[in-house]
Amino acid sequence: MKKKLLFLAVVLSIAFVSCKKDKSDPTPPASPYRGVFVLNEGTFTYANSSLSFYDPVADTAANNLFFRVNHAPIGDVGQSLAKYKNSLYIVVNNSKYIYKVDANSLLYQAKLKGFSSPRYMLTVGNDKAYVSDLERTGIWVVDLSDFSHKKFIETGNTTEAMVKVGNEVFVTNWSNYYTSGETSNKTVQVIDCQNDELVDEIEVAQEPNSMVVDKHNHIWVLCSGSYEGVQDPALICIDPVTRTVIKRFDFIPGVDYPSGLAVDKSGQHIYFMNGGYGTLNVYKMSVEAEQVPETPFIVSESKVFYSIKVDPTNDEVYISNAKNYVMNGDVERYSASGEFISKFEAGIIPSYMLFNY
Amino acid sequence: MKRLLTLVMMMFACAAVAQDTIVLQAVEINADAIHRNVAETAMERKMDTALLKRLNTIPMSQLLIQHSPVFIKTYGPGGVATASFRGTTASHTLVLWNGFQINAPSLGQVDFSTIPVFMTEQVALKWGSGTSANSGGLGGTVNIENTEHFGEGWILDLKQTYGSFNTFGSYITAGYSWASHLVRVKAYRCSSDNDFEYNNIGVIPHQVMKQKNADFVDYGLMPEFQWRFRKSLITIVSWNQWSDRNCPQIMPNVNNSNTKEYTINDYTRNMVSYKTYWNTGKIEVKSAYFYEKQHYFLESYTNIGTVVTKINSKNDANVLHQIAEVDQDIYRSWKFKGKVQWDYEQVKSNNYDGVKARNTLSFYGAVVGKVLKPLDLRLTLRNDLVDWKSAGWFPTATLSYSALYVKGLKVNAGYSHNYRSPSLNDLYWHPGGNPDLKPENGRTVDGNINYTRSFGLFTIEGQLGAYYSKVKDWIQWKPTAWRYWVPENVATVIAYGAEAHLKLGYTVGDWDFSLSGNYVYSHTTDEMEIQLIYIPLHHANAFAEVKWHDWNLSYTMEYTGERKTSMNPNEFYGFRLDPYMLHHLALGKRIRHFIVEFKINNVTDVDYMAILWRAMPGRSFEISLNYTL
Repeated sequence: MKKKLLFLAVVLSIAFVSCKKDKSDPTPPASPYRGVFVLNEGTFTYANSSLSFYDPVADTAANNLFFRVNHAPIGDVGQSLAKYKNSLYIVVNNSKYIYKVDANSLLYQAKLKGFSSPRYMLTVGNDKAYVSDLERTGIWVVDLSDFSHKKFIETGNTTEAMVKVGNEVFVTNWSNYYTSGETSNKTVQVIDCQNDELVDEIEVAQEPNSMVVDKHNHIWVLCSGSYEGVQDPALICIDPVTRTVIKRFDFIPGVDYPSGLAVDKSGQHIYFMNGGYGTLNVYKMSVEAEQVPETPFIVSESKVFYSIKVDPTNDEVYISNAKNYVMNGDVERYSASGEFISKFEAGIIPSYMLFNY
Repeated sequence: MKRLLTLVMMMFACAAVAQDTIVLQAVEINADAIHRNVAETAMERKMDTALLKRLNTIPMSQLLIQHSPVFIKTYGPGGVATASFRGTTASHTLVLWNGFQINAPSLGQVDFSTIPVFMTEQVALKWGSGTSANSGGLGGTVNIENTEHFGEGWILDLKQTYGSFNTFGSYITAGYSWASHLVRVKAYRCSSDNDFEYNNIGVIPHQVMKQKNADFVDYGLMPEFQWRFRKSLITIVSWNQWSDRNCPQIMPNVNNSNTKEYTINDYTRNMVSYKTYWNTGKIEVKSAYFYEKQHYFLESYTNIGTVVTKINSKNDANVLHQIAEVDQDIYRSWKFKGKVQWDYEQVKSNNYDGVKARNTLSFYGAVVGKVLKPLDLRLTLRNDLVDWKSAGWFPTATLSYSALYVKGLKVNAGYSHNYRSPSLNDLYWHPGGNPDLKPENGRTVDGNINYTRSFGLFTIEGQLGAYYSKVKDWIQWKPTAWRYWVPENVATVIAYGAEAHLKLGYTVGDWDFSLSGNYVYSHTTDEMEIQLIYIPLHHANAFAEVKWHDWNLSYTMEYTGERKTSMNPNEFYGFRLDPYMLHHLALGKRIRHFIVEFKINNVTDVDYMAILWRAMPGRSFEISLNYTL
């Protein structure tokens, strides 16, 4: 009896003590940031997205930088990053806002809300940026001078990846999930970014998810093919001047699901992921090639590759590994010839990478 | 001696049929005594019925976290609350209502916030080999039963509550109980604006704000009919509920005024049962029809108010259950229990490709009796046919030892093997549903020491237990390269832990003191030996009550230990949930037929999170008035 009471008392006192755990963090984050920022998506609806930074010279990484500096989470599903002047912009998809932080201190500067499902932000000059949206049929125009909404360009389709060539922005129409299948999910739209007007539309293949520009100023569009209905995964090359498809490489429908297109410094090689769950390998392809490569550049070996980015200073390839999606992932670093250099731990689902030199 | 006892019981049973006296209630009690014995109750705990009545305005989730070893993961008042037994997840907690499974066939779980204690009369928790009669309860089962009422005359019980955040509750029980008939209706309505103030630490800068879009309204109606004739009993019960709840945003997202999320959850659960007794046994045949509607809406608007997104997820489930069970004394202390059960679950969902259904036919047998004078043994075996394919043989064994020289001391040990079928969402959700999923397969060994004793005015009830479970083919939803989630049999999960329960009572003069508490240590890890998310290593509760004349003062404490929200071995402090301890007080007074009660919840105004970035209320008040005829 006495023992049991004692036991209960011990339990209660442990409880009281552990309630007062210190929340301070003694490690100051590294600054200034010369290297790569990694935005980790986090688990959907958990708002545990985080920002990591890796310094390739020192081979050191730091995690949870945003929280450690600002004492609040980034939000739910950190989608992408953009840098303009001395600020870093963090597009937070399911929190439906964009955070602006100082690129040196990462201190919070401002928040812009009012988006429906913001995806990517592209600066187009004159303190102006475009923001694509997975739910809204068009593009948000943001004034970066005072970080405010300027206008909305209605394009009729939801918007995803964006590249700028000359005075035109090319944007993919990736999904029609939120529009009940009523809008296009197989086109690239062309927007005149001086007048903010939709000027043209190019048909590609189902679900164009990513886009890069090569050394010829040609645009490469990677289409994953739909997971239901029409399955036509393809890699497509567009001439932005004539706005026509000049090359098309088809993948195997129902088997391949390519995504994550990236390009090297010179625009000579493109990289992408392809395969199924747990077997998503990374492929490297010359923009002059006549067919898509059969041999992977990096074999997944049961790693869960999630995104690719190439260091614009030395062509090193960074590939993120989301592991089991519920614990911190890694980012692996390879030379342009595919030799493993190093890897570092990032946050949960490391996705968007931004090189900052 | 045993024969004499049986004879006495028979006499009681006969008397019960023949006379119109209060003795009548003894029928069920004696029938229980015939068919239950030590080994059968070894792995169960009954919730105190007086407590159930006192706390009948709270949801079952709150009852369990405050008064049982079951851990509840809650999204806050009016939000989803799921139960986890012994470090398992919500899907491993089977909920039985009069023996029928009420876990939604689509999700496989039960939201305990939608079960008001008011709608229950008896709640028993079972674990390990105690769950042998059904599949699914790999962690444990919560058994909710309607009980018999005869010869009580008019029944009228009215309760009205009003509390902080404009929370109203109205509860009525009315009926008449004849010597051999009962007609009774329970009805309630509960609503809340739920707009409590909290410190939003998910925004920059942190800000004290009011919870938005968290209001809810629930209605319930339960008509019941019981008819007893000769040695038989017919029961008809219908449990109906309607609930309309808004879902608040997580803390970082609160400023999104252009989003609205809500759920509509209605159900009707109807059962009819025929039970007949004879001197050495009984047979019960029962049938149930359940319909459950679970609709979820997510709408977002443009700045000018046009709807741009509409997720309209509709799940409608129709479930039929048929059970025939027999209890029979076979030889000396040995008894046999047999059950045949057929379940038909059908879900129509706009998230599935068409209507999906599942048939489960289950055969169950148990024998229980004395191996030696102080040693009881219970052996069970079940074979289920899931869509006409055998899910395998599932045995359990329980040994109960009643100490000969220490009165009130019992030692129990059990082994059980059980499975859980994937939910229909796991199998058929579009996209992602995986029809190739295998059932989860769990084995548990557990044991406990019980001590129950009265020393004059002092009573003590203590239990100390430990368990070890291994669940193979644990189902988890994982994101894929296709950017949608797919459930897979991913891991083997090992759960082990210890439970302690203590209940003390002391009566002196007009004073009545009682103290009870639970402490649970649950260690649940996957193959990488990392503790699963949202399962605290420690949780505990305590309840103390003093009664004096018509006065009643009680104190409740609940403690939840630190929880991780990811599978990282060391959780980052920003995403780690700190332990918290809540204290609640209640003061009541009986004035003739009335009881007035005043409650303070979260007395110390603790600021805490039960789920990452979900706001929880601070101190709140409630007053209630209860009239009983």
